[in-house]
Amino acid sequence: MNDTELGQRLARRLDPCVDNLDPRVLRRLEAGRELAMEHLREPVAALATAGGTARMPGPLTGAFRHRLFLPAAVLLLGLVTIYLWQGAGTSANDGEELELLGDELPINAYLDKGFQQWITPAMQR
Amino acid sequence: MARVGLVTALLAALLVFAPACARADDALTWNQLSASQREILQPLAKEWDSLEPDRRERWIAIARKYPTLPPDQQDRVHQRMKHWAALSPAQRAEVKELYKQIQQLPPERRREILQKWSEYEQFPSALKDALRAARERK
Repeated sequence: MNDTELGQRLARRLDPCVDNLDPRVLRRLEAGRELAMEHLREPVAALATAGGTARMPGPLTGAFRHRLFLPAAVLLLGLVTIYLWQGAGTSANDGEELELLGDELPINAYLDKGFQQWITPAMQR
Repeated sequence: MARVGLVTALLAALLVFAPACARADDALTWNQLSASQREILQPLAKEWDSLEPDRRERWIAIARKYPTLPPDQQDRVHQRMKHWAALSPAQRAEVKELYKQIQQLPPERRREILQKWSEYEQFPSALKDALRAARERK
């Protein structure tokens, strides 16, 4: 038996008693129905029970899915950006290493502390 | 909610680890390189298989761009490959940092730096040592 069938069977059993209900109870039930209608767009199947309302998780549809779409899209966009940025960074590093290796100044020069000292005034000017 | 979380986590893992997987694929052994790659990277033949996968990937990328260089730069790159590969990451970072600083200078100042290297090479060892000591004191 699915939720709809169960609800219909419960409604059939409860309907005959509605006329005998206290008006305050009827107002409370009406307010509860209004509240339930507001949540109708949410993809959960509401099952009315004597003690209150039990909610059963439904499929990922409607507003529920839309509410998750934005953060998921933002996360995905961020990750794609990081991925592309990493790729661009690696490529730039490769190009820089190649230029450095082909530069007129040899690697020894860059590592020589004495040369670093010798060019300090020219670098700071 | 749990399903969306799982899908998002899987996507995130894919995006985070995909570059690493790609790098692992690029970590070719010397024998897996093409003939032209082996020719360009010949100075690294002996140590190639012991290089870090990340470094191998870098060299493969360099080999890809190598043919676009003028012949004199190609020669210099070829001569310096072995030395560059033997440097520690800290030394490579030090070289890159100074290279960047020099590249930011105007062309005439860069020529001056180059001229200073020629002068420095002619210095007696004692003078070079004194300059090194002064640098170390900083």
